Amino acid sequence: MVSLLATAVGIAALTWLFGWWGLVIAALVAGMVLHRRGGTAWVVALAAVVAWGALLAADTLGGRFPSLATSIAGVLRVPVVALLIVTLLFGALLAWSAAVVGGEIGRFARAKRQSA
Amino acid sequence: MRVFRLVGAVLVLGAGLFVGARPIGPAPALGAFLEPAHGVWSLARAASSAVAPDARVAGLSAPVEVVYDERAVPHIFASTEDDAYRALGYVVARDRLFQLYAQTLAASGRLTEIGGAPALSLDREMRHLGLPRAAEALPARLGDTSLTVRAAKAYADGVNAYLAAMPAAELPFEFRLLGRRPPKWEPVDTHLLLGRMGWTLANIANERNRTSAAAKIGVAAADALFPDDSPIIEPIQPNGQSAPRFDTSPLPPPGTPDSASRLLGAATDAWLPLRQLARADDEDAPWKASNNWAVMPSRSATGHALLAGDPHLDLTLPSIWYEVHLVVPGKLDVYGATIPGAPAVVLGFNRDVAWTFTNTGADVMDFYVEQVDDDQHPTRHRVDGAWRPIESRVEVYRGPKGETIAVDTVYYTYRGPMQRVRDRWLSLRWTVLDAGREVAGFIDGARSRTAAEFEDAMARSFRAPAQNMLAADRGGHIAIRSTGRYPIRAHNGSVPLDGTSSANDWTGDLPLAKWPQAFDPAQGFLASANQQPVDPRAVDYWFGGDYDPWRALRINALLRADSSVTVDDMRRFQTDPGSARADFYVPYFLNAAVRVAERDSGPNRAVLAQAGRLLNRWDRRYTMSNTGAVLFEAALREAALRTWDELATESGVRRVTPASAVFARLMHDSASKWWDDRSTPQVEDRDAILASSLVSAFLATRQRYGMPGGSGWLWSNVHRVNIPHLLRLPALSGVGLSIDGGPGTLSPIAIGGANGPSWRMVVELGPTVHAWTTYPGGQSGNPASSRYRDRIPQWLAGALEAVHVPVRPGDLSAAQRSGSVTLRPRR
Repeated sequence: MVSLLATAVGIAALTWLFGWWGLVIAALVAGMVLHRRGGTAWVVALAAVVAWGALLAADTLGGRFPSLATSIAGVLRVPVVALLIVTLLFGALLAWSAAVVGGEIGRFARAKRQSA
Repeated sequence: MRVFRLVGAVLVLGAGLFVGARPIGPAPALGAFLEPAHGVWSLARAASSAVAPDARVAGLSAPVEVVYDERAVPHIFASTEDDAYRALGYVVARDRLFQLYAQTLAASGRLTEIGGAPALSLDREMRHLGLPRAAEALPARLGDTSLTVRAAKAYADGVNAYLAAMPAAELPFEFRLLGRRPPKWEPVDTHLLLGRMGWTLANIANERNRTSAAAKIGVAAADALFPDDSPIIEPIQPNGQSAPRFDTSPLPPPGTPDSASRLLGAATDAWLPLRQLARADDEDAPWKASNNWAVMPSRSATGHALLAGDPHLDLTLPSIWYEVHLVVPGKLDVYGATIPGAPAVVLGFNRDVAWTFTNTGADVMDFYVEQVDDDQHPTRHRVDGAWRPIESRVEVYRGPKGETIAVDTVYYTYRGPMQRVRDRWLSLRWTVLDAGREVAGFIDGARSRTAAEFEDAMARSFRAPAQNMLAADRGGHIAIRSTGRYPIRAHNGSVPLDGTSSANDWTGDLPLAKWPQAFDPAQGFLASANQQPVDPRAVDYWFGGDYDPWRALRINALLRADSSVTVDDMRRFQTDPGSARADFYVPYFLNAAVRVAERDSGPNRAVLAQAGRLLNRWDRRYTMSNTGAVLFEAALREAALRTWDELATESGVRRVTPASAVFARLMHDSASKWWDDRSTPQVEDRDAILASSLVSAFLATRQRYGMPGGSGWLWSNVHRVNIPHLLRLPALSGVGLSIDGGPGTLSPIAIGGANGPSWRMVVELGPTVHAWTTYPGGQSGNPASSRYRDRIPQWLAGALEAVHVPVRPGDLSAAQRSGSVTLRPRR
């Protein structure tokens, strides 16, 4: 739980600072750091959903989110729900894949250190 | 297993990074688009966030305070006028950034950069007209110290200061969708915008229609069907008559086709706005319109001068107008509507004077057949036996990725741009290409203290497009002048001229004293609705006015009938559903129905009687709940179709249609040859055509909308307004909205429902100025903002909102404020 929350905070912070690349970087680093734990990639993916979900929640605070969502969905001709799912799924997939790759890099680095 | 997982993850990551970073087809790059901190979702935050308290603007001489009222109108308090225009650029960019960009692309002929090859014809139109070239040359022509150039530079400082400070969340939706960033705003973009406005209001359709008709029915008949002078005269400059004058003389019959008219037809087609060419057969094209009127204290209920204005333009979201108030203590205090990109209030008022415009439609474009040295690559043209140089300019059209889509060379004589038309080189002389000081006119006019001062300020600088400029002042004076440049030429400009003779060139401009104008008329009011500015019997110059005259008749009748006009009357008149056109035509239909029923016992007699009864019951008002207008409109359309069958092409398509006022003239001649429907064996007269049209219209309407009087016949079912988004995105547009008004009323909706009153304003000029405004849209260009389209409901209902005109920032109470920003000089 702690690692999930910590990763989510990291992803949210780096997204705020660097945009969507921040999520990839945060997930990659999380994968490298947490690679010894089982199911790390899924935890990072979930953390991405939590982080981006929280940022979306912040966007809703002014009360104009429903209007915006309806407009965007109308322009793209998709349901609002689908658009939100795509947003979170996009983040989750990026986070999962980056975490898997990060985990392998972490393992490789650890193996290298041990063999040395 | 781990290997498979890794390979899968690498593939997913690669694909994610690819679609995240690169646009695929029309879809934007998903990463930056969907990301919730700065991506498209953050627009919701931007739409509801308070305005940043501080911003830095280069060039400011002192801090500028901007207070937004509860209608999201910025009130700008600056120390100098240049600072006010800097702040104006800033606030307009904040609310309308994409609009600024889109307008610039359109005006500079660069729409292909976002639209690709399909936009090429629109871009060529702009560049072949020479508008970008003229805008680029303007600063050098006017000089850096000119008011126009200085204001454009100050405005650009403001726009660019906003761009530099713009939070990522405020990047407009459209830029995100297109995957583009807003470019720096250049002063030339302002000049481009105003040139394009000149094109929007250019008027050569009548010339084109006349020549097109002459090729079918001969010159004499074409001249009568597409006349310069309207058959119904009630001019802007009062002519001392208290009623319109109708030309009741017979129209000449159809004649022999005139082959010589084809060249001018091709020439006007070459330069005719694409929008007009596409709409040449559009029945409602003539209903493009603008109105303004003013009453003197002697005819107003409050004893103060009143002024109303509603320019009709293409309706878009966001709107072409942006409402703003500029205050520079002791120098400037102007409120009204600006066009995003223009460093000035175009229509509005100060504490003493109010003003508003309608389009004059003067013929200020001439074509010259040029003799060139090389037909393929001309470098010189002959004038008075000597060769003169031709300038060439290579126009490169870029695609969305910077690729070259097309390359043109546009040639220029000293007269203007050339085009090759039917194996000849034609050059264009046009006042808009020589103009450019219009911004100075707006700025000067805003400082005026009387209506006469305003008119004179505009006359000093404003050249094109010629406008009927109406003003009223606190002293109770009203004035109107058709202000613009009217070239003097030795011809009437209606045929391509011989370019080898300088005798055909413009020899000067009509002096101010000869422009149509009126000051404090005896009738106590002034009204313009694009009708002929001055009675043609009084002058030998054509100032425009081939718009249909029905709105002018209606507003003059309303103003004559009301000797104690209130502010609310002014508002009601703007959306008055009555129609002088219906008042004129309906009796002809009713009489025809009676007379034909008496002489004809055919199978449609009962239908004719029923249709006649329905039309007789109609109150001739175009309200949404009206069930009579639909029958009348169908009948009139059908009658015009049957009558003007001589103008149909071989394929049966009617390329041009005479104006409704010409049809009115024909009504006086019941036996004219024009009435005969050539597709029938018998020879019809007026009553036969009107009666058969009424029967056909009734049957068609019943078939389409159900039984008479039912909900299917509601005017709201057939008369809708559409307010498209700039990118024509339906989700961001207002589509299929119901509204009062119709053809010939003061508030018509035309061009597929997307042209109509783009701004409405009523001003009362008492000891304290009071004003009421609205427009179909909202102040914000952000679709997520509550200000994106919040004014549409009141606009549809014909309502206006009272505006605040604070002298100082503190005059607005907390409840009247929605935000503020202080702009400070950049350190």
